Amino acid sequence: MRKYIIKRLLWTIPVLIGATFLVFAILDNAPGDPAKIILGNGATAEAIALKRAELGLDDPFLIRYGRFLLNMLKGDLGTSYRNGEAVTSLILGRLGNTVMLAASGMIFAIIVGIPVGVISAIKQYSLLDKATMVLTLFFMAVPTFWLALILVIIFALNLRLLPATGMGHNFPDLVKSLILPTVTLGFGYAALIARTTRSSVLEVMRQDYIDTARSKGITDKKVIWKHMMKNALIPIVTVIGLNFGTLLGGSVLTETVFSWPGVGRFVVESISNKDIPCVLGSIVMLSILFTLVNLLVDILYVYIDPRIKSGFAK
Amino acid sequence: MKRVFSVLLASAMIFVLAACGSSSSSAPASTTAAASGETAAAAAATEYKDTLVFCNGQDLTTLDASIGQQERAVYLTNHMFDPLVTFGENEQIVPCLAESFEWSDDSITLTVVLKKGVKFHDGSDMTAEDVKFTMDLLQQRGMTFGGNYDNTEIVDDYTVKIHLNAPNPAFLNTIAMPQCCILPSDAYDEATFGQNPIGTGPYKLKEYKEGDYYTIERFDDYFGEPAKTQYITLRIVPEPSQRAILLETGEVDVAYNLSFNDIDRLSNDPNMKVLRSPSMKVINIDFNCQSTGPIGNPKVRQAVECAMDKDIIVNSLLSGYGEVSKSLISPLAADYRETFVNEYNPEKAKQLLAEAGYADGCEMTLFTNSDQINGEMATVIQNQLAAVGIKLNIVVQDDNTTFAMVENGEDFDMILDFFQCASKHADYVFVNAYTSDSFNNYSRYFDDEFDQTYYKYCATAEGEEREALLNKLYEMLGTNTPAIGIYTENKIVVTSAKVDGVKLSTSGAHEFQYATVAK
Repeated sequence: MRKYIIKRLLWTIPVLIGATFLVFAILDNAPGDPAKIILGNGATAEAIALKRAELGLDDPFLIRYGRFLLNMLKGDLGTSYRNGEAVTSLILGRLGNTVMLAASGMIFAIIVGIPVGVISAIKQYSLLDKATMVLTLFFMAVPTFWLALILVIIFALNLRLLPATGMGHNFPDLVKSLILPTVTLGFGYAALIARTTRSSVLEVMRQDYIDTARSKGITDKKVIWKHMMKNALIPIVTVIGLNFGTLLGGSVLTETVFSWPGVGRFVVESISNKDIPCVLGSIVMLSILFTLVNLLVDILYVYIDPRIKSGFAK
Repeated sequence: MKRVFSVLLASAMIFVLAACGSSSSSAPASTTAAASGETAAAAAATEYKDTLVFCNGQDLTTLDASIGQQERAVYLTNHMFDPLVTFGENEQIVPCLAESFEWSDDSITLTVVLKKGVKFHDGSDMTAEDVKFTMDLLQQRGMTFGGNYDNTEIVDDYTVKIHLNAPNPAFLNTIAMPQCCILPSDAYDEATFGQNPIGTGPYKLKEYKEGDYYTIERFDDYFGEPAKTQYITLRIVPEPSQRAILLETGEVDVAYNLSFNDIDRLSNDPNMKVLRSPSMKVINIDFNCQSTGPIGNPKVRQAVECAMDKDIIVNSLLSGYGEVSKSLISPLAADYRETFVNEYNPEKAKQLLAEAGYADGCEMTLFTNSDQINGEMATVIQNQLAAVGIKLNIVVQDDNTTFAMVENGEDFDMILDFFQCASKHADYVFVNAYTSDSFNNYSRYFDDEFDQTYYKYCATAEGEEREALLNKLYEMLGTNTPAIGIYTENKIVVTSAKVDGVKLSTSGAHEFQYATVAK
């Protein structure tokens, strides 16, 4: 098991090199001069040339990429082209916010999705099941943007219960400001988890050991949550794990609508400003996080499914 | 279970209906109600908040006012820094850090006497040394000054003489721009100044979280009248509709850059005030004067302008929030002269096309960005040009891509663009957008006669000769048509009715120094 974890962690290195090389090359070839973007429309050619030299943009591509890699090994992700601040501190300040939003969105999705999926499976073909399936389809298809605005109009503008956007700076405000982005982000995933749970539970329900458990007189509650769920969980955990990784880098829309100071929005802003160090730094951090989350999910399988553990023992 | 489900479904429907109803229910009043709301708020205001919060969509580019030239860069820094002279009522130049200023008889030496007791935010005194340091730095960075800045001489601690090589009547306008603010010579380090800006303005930086918010705090040692509100916070809210909602919920007091729909809606809300000012920003179309295609012919360029009904764009598309442009320069700028030659006349457009050899029409491409108004405007222009036989293809792409294409020398026909006359003097537009060696000459307008006329104009003192040269410059821009102005933008800021004293700027550097927010 330890060997497996080390091997997986070592795989992160080529993943990082590949990802950063691709992003570096794409951004380098994308139109737009960072010096001109920083200085604005009225900047003179002399001022732009000076800024380019200061940013080291006149060096060849490979030298700049090599310099980036070397510094990355030293833990230095460079400084922002735009304001000269250290990229590491800029990203770390936002990474926590993104993880917080992604985690709360996923927790919301799990809390809503799993019970809805189980109930829907147990009451298969009932009106409740059909309505749930239509609703989950709706929430998977509805654009985040629209849902966010509807929630803001109801809870912030009309009912004045929650803040419309932004991130609270003390704990009670933080919790309040987290609710709407969490629900916006979580609804789609809750629907996905509900549908996965439903089909997974339905499959397990047809197994012989469930009939055996029932015939032994075990209560419905115990059959569902102890016997059925343990086996139905594997595909659900896979969906949760994969989507948590996606959530980390993919909550750009939610972060934009709610002005949430996370990494997603930061990457988009950095791309439009051609702030290559910031984009690369974010990609490095997100890649590491994504790999770790996937590793965590793989380890979790071992605890859910003893058959996988026995595979490692061999 | 069925009952629970029904209740849930009903609640969901009520929520959606409530949401849909909100936009119409919040806009019942009239404009007169807005005015009475203002009076009522003012009368009732006995106590003021200590913080004014305003929001904008894009993050600041830098907090170093001497570097950031974009409009969004000065939203906050104009409260932290001061230039030697500034723009007063009707855009005339008035002293700021200068106590007085005087030109020599030959108009090439400007003697500036500085105000005494002006302090930087770090407690040090602002002296002649700082002025010389700033002027030399600006020159080193390529600030044009009409190409005739020589040096700054320190006469004593509070007097400097700025020497030019030739007269430059636009010089005072140039040094009044926000990026010509006076910097502390001892504390200025370009690498770190953006994170630790030190100016002489009425506010100093308190704290910020990039991409989220910036807070500035009243500077108690400010040389002028102290700022009325202790803190000003800028919140970055990318989504325009969210900025409008924040204003309605009271989470912000002032919102910038709202959509015209929201502005219309909020103008009927008695709790809001819509502030509006004409501006220095002209939305224009740059033509590729060096094109080998039809647009390379001045007659075709004139035909395009004659085919465009700008009134429709301003009145229908912009809901009237702008003024039809009769020049490439805002009418508010110094040395603006109205010399409109290509009036709306589709018949004349067809005739000009025929004269240029395109009687059967021609095809060209317009590049624009994904901004909603620009997209809609491009479609209107497409229809108007089709009426005279020009088939216009619209390409929507990122501005970076478009301007990189131009800078790389690739071929193009037309770009939907804008130009802000930051110095509020026509000279700024001539030199930055239309002289051959300007980096921003996106029209590729390379005209020796124009260049010679411009450099003579900029180095000629006010008088008949300068006026004649100025008229010639306008005439050349009209007949050669390297670009056309479509409309002059209106600067629109929406505030809560509780806010008073916001001073709008024609270049977007709006001021909150004397603004208050009633509790």
